[in-house]
Amino acid sequence: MTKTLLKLQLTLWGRTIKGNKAAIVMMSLISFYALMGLFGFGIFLALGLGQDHMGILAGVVSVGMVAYCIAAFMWPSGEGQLDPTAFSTMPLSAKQLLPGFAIGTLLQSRGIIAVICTVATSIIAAVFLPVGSWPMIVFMMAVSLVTTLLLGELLGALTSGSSSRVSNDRRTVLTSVVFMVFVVGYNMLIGADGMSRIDAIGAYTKWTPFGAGAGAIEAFAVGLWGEAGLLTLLAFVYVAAGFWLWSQLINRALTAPLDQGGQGQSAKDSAGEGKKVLFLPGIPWSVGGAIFSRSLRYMFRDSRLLGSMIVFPLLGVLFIFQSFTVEFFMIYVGLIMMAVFAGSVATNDFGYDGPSLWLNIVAGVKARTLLMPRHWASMLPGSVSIVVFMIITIVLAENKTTAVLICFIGLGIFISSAAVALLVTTFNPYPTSKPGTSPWGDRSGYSGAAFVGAFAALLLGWIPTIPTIALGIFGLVTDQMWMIILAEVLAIILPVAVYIGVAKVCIRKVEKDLPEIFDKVKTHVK
Amino acid sequence: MTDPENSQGTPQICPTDPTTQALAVRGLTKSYGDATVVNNINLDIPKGAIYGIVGPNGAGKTTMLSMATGLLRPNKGTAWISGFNVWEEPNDAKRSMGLLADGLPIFDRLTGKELLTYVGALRELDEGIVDQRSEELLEALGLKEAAGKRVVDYSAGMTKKILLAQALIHNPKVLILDEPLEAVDPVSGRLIQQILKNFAQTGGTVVLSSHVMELVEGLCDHVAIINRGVVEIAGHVDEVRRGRSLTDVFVDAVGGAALQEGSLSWLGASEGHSEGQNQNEDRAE
Repeated sequence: MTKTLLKLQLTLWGRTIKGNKAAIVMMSLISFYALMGLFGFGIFLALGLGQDHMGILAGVVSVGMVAYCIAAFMWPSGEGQLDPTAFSTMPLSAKQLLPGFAIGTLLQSRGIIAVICTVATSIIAAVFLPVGSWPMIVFMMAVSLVTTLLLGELLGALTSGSSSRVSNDRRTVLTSVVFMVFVVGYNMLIGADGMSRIDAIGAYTKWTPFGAGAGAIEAFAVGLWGEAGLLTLLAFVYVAAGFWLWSQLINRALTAPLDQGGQGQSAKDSAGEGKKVLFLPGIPWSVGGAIFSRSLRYMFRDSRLLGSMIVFPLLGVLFIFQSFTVEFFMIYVGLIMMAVFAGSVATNDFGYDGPSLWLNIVAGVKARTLLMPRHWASMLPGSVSIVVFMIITIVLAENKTTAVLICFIGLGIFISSAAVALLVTTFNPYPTSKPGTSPWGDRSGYSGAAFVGAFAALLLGWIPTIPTIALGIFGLVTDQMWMIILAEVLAIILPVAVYIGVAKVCIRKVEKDLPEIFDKVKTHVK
Repeated sequence: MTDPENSQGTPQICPTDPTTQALAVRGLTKSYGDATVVNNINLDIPKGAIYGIVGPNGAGKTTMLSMATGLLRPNKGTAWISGFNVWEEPNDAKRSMGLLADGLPIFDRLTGKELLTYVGALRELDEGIVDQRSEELLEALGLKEAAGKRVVDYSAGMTKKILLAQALIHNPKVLILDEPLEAVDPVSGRLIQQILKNFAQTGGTVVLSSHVMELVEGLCDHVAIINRGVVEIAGHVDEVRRGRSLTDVFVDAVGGAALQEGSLSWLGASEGHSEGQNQNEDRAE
């Protein structure tokens, strides 16, 4: 059975990779970041061990494990091909599957990277720790590797394993929130110089599954036999508990896999008497109103888009926090960043509508109506966040002149980035995963077209505001108010002109080539 | 009508004025690389007909209908709906038709009622009319209880019915249905057939593709058999089948497949199964 499972993993893995640029790019990116992390933390580790910092090994190993878990969490549908639910109709038990599943984790790029990181960490530790602790290093680092792989699989099994749409949607919301909170927390930690005290982190994590193995090595190396024994025992208990939990989860997946999760509930607000159906409050009955309302409702109902609803407020919180902890200037950086990123959500409207676009096409909707309300709906979450952020910026800023100028520039960049998004959405549509796909499991973002879209949105949005920025800075430096006011006016006029021009070009393109646009997005990415 | 005797099926010259037909296609061709999926199809579907388009999997039915409805640009040829050229007067053509596309998802995060409201609004109907027709369609198709449920949570049969409802909501002149009764239960199937018959009796035209010969035979008055991208036979059902069953005509037209003698003989033989299992167990030991 184990041999069959490993052959299956290898065959399917090979086929997933072969000719799949998206998968290769994703693997390369993760590997690159992992190796960069290994290099950076390797230096940290060498310096820390050189200065006899107790806890540094446990801290570094823990951070590596967390990074591995995040990768397993964010890309659950990547390279692992062995899904226990696929075996649920066969007379098999978790006991028969577990060895194959366990070894199969090493037949994936992240498993291979985990091995490389473990070996490199072991070598660095061996260089600085006494020769007598070498067998302990080899043994307990191997235990740490097994724990890492186990944690990744447990996380994957816990966050999947349901065929229910409702459960999957809830999980996606949860994972998006958790991930964003993690990113914000990580940045706050960096801001607070937390990474330089990684040995202090290790002093705590050595009692957890993340650092028990490495903690045992450190204790052994300095002759704390009692602690070394206790941590070794703990590391084994964690591994045993992990295997037990994994086998339980596999058994759960093998037993009635379609029976898990919730059931679709009737929408609370859609069929009520006297209430407007579909149309959002204040939106008049019209074709454009229907498209706008539908698109905006989808922002909340489609997990692929839901992440963007969470990203903007959290990004705002992060920069406001940094304006207090780092420097007030960070609030301006945040404003500009939010303006630049606002368009990124709207760079593939046709792709996100995907095959469902046929409904709009066969209804004979005019190109302008088909394009613009859809685009405005995509831009709305970003624009609301920016307006709120601008108000906060002006209120908090001591130098109101600078704050107002930067708000105007931010608004200009926002309009430019909307224009770029509209251009990219029309001329560079690409297929996406189906609605309901977790943003972390969505592979559509790794296509060539997706890269073009993302980079165009980030890089081109600035261009129409460059003269304004130059004029504004010159006005501030030379203290010439007329120049600042002119910059503020130009900051809006130039991007608006660009936006109107782009909109006309895009409408003409949709009028002419809608079937070709549909052809590009009519199949979901699997 | 295409001559049923014509082995090539597709007539080279189509004397009928396509603008007088409910749906007409002329020289419709679609190729992907070297593969020609639809090859120079000509077809006339008269007004008031219930017209069945049948063919084996991969015959080109859906591709032909996609080109006829403006979803896919043909390499050659064009289509008319209610006299309007689909590629030159797309909005007039689309106003006249209702489409149930097979295999293409819809905005399934909307509830059934929301979806009908959405399509009604796109079709520029008045709000009151959309509301009234939505209620009636949901009631008639047995979806009243599921009106507030998201379409993604519908069963396959319910999804077909809501797709039919959205195709009907603007009271089109030509109803184009790709596999309309697939996955629909017999009770709903009979109801839908009744709706289609009533629609045709009041002057509407129904064009449907299906694999179910009994459905086409019982419901349609005209039929076209498409195979490998060409129309093999087309005409009035009685003329096409000439006293035989439509299934026999279909099998003759597209070529049958028979199980070779002795093939799969082990299937259901319990002794063989036990033997094989024992061998596996022996190997395992």
